[in-house]
Amino acid sequence: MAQLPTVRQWLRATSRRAGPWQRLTVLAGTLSTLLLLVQAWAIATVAQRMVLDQAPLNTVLLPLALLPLAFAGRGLLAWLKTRAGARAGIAVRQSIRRELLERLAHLGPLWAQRQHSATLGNRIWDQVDALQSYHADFRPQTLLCATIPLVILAVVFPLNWAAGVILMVTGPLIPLNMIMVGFGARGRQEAQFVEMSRMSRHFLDTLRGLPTLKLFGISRRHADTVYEASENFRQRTMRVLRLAFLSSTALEFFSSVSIAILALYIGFSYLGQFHFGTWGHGIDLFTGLFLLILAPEFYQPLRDLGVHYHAKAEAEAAAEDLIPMLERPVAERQGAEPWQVPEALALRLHQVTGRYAGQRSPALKALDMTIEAGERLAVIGPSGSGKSTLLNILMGFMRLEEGALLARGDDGEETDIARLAPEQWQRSIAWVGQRPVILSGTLADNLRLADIEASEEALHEALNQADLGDWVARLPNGLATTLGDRGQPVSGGQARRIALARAFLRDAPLLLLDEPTASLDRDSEARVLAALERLCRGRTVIMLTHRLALLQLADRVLMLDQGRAVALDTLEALRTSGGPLATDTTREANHVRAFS
Amino acid sequence: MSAPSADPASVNLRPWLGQMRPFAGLMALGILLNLIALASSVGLIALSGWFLSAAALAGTSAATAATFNFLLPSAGVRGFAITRTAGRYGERVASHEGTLRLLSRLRRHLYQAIEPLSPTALQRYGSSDLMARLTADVDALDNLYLRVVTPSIVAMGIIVLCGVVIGVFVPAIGIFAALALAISGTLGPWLAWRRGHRLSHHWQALDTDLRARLLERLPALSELLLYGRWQPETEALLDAQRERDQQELALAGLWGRSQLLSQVLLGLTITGVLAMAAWWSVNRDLSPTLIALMGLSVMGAFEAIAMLPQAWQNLGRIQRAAGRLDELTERVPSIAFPAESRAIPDDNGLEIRDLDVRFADGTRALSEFSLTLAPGEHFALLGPSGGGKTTLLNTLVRFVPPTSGSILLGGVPLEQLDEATLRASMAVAPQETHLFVASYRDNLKLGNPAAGDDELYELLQALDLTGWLDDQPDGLDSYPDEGGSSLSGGQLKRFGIARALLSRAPILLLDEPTEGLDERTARRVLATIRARAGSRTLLMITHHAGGLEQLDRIGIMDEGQLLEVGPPQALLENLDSRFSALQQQIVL
Repeated sequence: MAQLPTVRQWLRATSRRAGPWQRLTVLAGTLSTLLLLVQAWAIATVAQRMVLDQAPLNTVLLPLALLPLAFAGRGLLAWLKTRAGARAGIAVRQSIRRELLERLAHLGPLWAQRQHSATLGNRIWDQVDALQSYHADFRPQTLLCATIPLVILAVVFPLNWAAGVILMVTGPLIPLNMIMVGFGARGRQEAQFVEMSRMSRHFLDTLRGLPTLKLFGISRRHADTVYEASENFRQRTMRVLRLAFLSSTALEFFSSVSIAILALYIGFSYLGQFHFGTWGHGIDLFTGLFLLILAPEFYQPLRDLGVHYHAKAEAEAAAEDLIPMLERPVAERQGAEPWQVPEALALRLHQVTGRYAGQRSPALKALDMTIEAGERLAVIGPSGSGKSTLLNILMGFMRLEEGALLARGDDGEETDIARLAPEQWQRSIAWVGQRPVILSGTLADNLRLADIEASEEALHEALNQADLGDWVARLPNGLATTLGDRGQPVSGGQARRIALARAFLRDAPLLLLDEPTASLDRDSEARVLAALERLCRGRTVIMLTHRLALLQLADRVLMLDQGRAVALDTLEALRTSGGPLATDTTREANHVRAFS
Repeated sequence: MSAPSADPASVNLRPWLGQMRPFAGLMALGILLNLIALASSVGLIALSGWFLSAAALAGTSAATAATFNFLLPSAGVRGFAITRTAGRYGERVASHEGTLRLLSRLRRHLYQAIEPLSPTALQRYGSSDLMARLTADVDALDNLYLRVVTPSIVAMGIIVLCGVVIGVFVPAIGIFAALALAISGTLGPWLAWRRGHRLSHHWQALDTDLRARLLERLPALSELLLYGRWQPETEALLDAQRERDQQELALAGLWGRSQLLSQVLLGLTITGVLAMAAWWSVNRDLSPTLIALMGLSVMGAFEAIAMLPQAWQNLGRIQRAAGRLDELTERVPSIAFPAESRAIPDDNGLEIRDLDVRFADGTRALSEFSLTLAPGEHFALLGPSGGGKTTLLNTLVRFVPPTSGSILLGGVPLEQLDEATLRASMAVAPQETHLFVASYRDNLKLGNPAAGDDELYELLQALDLTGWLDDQPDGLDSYPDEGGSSLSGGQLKRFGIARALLSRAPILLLDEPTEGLDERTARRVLATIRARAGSRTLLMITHHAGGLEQLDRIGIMDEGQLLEVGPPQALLENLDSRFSALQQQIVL
């Protein structure tokens, strides 16, 4: 397996998705420094003219006019920087979220089922949002930490090399200083972010477990436990922070010291005590003040970076969670042969073997059988026998480890479905599962899931077929009635029949059923059965079920155990005495017991 | 959150500010140190500016250069450099100490506010992850001190200080500087704060909807893929996301514009100060060496003012968080218990009389449900999911108030029992077993703190969990993963049953104890439950018909009504009964 990128590599690589916006952010920040030069020039000029030149007031009109303009310009650049940064972050997030959703289709429902659905949702939603500040603020700021000091040094050195040296030595560009500052920031980040988020999780755990605490009658007493836990966290965090702050104050120290040294150096030069650093042409008040005003700005980018450190920590945590999903290689899909959805469909399974990722033995082993067009096959077996695996293979969600699944359409030609794109193959399938999905939306939206172009008449026809005609007639808004969360409640039986109506609309030659009548009351079961009988007509049907009534609809029954076919025959043959489903004679005839 | 929020600008933060009172000293210290650090910063640059001007002026002739007293200003410059650094360090330590102490208090306060609320109502009220939001909201609240109160006070302090320093020389310029700085610092952020509420609110609403939509679509992945609808769903979701992001961009633009406004005003302020100082030095008796000092004081004060937009931005966030918390405690009903039980139950029988439960959204979960369980009876309630079984259980533990009807425990209505008595009477294994981030032993002992290890092992073995326990690195001392993923669904369920069985409560309520178990394990678990239940009254609800012959009686319910009750054999023999219909399947 290819090496996954590290968190840092990945974050750096994803920032390219921001397009020009991130560069624009950096550009705005750097240009702002150029306007700072104008501000420094204006203030220093006013002082020079008034203090030393004793010039009349009108000579300072130009600097005084330019000064507010420079401020306004910096304001505009700040606006641009904020907007461009936000855009950069948004661009990155939108691109990553799209990729995640597309990835999910490739990874398939089998992979998704293994993830906790809240975790998966959290990844696609919150973890992606957690990248915002990194791309909008932190990353541009790291670049500004290089550009702004360089611009300032480039201006300072030609004016006065001694001042340049003072800035250089105390400045963050010196690796030793960088290490000290970096160490402080990291220590702080760890203590604050890691410990704080651990504390948040602990609190979250408590809130989520509140019903349990209540049921055991200790919820009230628990308030003190919450407080104590929080206080323990505080003590631990503060122990780290006290040390970490010490080194992160280093930046403050360097910045203060450099201003102090600079001021003393320039002041003593004026007083004739120092005679170096000026490239031989002396130093006037203008130059001195100009240098002094620039000095704090030299350290400002790094101080700003400290403000955004939490964004980095947050993004790194999110990246760690996202990388495995985004960067793990998935098997390339093979070709896409043309495939017409046939009127009738026959299937041949040749040594079909399927295995779940990371499992020692295949879940379905070397299954050989033929299913004729229009045949109804029931599949039974204890849980873990390979029934769902077979269904997943038929639906194109699981790749075969060995063997082939061959489909024969109207022309009598056999096609290996591995050579079709999954969405091509899936067009010939309709499915009714155990827990049909009702999405919040109108009834029509829910039905059109199976056929987006279906007309209202077609919807009504499908509803009638699924025995929902009466129900929809009683609904306040008919097809436009909102279902789901805040809409019309839908009972289990109705949901099942909505799924049936979808299958009618789909009108596919292959019908897959997964316990379509499980845990329904008798009345609902009877209505679903009647609709199923209509639905099965003229289609090839494969159903997973243990319900007798449904088994009686099947032409043949396939019995699986531990991934292997143990019997394949009609229900009657299986139930004859001595057969694997021999009727338990001590009970009523309709209670069937089998122990394998 | 589904409910519309009140205007966040009008949220009263006073109760939250009140939480700071015990740490007032610490917080004042933090503010003072912060003020010292920033004042030193302003002092450093302003004094340096004056020092340069004065030295340059003195340096024009050798005589003045020799008599220039540089000791005081140079000592001042060095002193400010030191107080700035030390002040900053002290401020960081003090303010973080204060913030973390406050956070501990806030968490307890919030916990105490949420604790009495009905958990079921809370669940129905909240979006998919209300608790995560709540936690984030408390974390936001702790910013109130560090990122709102402190910077605001400090900025005001610096502005006043700046005005005083300038005003000592020319009062008029000092007053102008202070007023202009205050206006430039607050006008822009205030406008953005006012207008930002609406955008944030809209963003929040869109975000909540989208998140819910995604969480709804994820479990439907199979169907959506199979019907070729995942791609269009993805596009729709991304389109809606763009709409949400537009709000975010507008918000960024708003803050960007507020920065622009601040900068323009600051530019005018500093220009005004410089111009006035220049005029004063020419036309009045102001020493021109003070021009740089005045200009640089104003510039130095920017650092303090730069914290204000952040503070206003945070204030908005905090108000929304506080608004949500207030609203939650107001809207979600709490369960009221009498301080002391008004009567003592005669026995451990349960009588449910004409129970009706309706939710606020109009759905009727139980209608005229009546059932009497004799003391020590073992009863299973069977029915499809969504039929009202869990609501019944929640009503029995008083998580859900009945709309009408009553429940009597040993002849005493439930509302007459205090919370301690009620909880001590019932041991419950709810549908979702919550594992705390604590050792498995501690998790189990929630049921009975006095339980010994022998009892725990014995029970885990009876529930077929020894295999799982052997896989744990430190046995019962191991910790579950966050989210409890180190147990499979069926194992987690049995763990929850073990916890309930450990309790000595005379009534046992179990929700779907055999869900996710294969037939053999399910029977074994049922046998264990029966053996351990002994003379306790047992009510278990399930949609799994297997193995129930062992119980005294069973009932079948659907759509909130009890349809059949009787001993299992009698129901089985009646071929028309729903129970016998449920048995019409092949069992492997």
